[in-house]
Amino acid sequence: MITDKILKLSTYAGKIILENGGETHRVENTVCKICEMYGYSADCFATLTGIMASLEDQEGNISSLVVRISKRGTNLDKIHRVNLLADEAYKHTPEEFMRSLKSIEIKKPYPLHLNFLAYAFCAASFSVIFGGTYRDFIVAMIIGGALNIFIRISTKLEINNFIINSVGGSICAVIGVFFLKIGVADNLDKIIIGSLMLLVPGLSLTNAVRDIIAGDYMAGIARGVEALLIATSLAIGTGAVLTLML
Amino acid sequence: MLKQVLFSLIATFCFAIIFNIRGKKLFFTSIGGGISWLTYLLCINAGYSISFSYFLSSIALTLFSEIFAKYLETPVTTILICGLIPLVPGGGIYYTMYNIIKEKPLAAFSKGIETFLISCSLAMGIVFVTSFIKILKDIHRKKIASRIISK
Repeated sequence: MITDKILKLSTYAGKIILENGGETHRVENTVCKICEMYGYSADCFATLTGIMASLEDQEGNISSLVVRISKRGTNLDKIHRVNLLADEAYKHTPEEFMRSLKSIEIKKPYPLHLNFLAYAFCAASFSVIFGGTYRDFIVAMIIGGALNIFIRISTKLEINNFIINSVGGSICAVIGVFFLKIGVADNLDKIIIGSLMLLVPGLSLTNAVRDIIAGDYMAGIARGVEALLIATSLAIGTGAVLTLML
Repeated sequence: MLKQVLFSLIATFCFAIIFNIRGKKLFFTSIGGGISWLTYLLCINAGYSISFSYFLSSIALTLFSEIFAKYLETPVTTILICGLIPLVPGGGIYYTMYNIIKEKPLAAFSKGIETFLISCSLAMGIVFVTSFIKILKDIHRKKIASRIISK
């Protein structure tokens, strides 16, 4: 049936946005927008872990669909593409639309070595911004690389966020203290802060605020709590190592 | 100061790669990060308080992202998230924790409050600009609608 097909593809678009770090009100808007462009009135309710949508056709038959989200990453390019596609949904037939969504879904992220370099340079530049020297720059670079490898492994093993962040924080501290002890590093705090910036909850903070502005208090608070939890786990991981090693 | 702004550009650029931003948006996102840190530095040098400086720089960044998101036809968050990263109080988290393990509860408390205030001022900056832009958009839409009706 055509209504089922449209419901399926609109929630699929929503799922891609939600899985790649979009705000929940953007998901709700996108699902409703796509359905309306095909001429059906729809309502959608999304949380961080799932999408519920229902659609009514001209005869008054109601179909509905629940989609669960299990994995969450960050790929802002996919959100951008789905957004562009949803704006001109009326130009495509449902089959075409589904095909283009699938091709967005399988788009590959940046290659691993580029990602590795980005992590390294990101940590290094932040340590300089906060007042580090060129020796701190190099140590932070090493930490950034190590964090990249750790995060890659832990996402593959599907470890939860809390553990990733506290272990990540302790990796920053261990390598930092090690280089301080052998006399390469100058400022331990600048190095650790610089590399912690890689794990800091910027995405959760931004999305929490934007969801709350849009009136979606539940998702906003969930994101806010996520940000708070990440910050706490960073502090715990780093603090534990510093207490033991300093 | 120039060095700091330059490095914040590089850092934001790297973050944009980590978050998989592509094409022209990479460039504008990095500029966003540079603007946010530049505004912060200017405000601090002008003698404003820390949280007010963060508030102003968050406003500058959000304005920039709203304008260029329109131009690039992309969600505002693409630019906003990466540009905001240099402003997120990683230092505050670290020093709060450091003072706790050094058993200086008062210093830890004041740092913790400062970190919390910084996050709140960042949030408020985003709220102000986004709501303001939304009002502008609504007025614009109503004007168009009324024009259509009068025709």
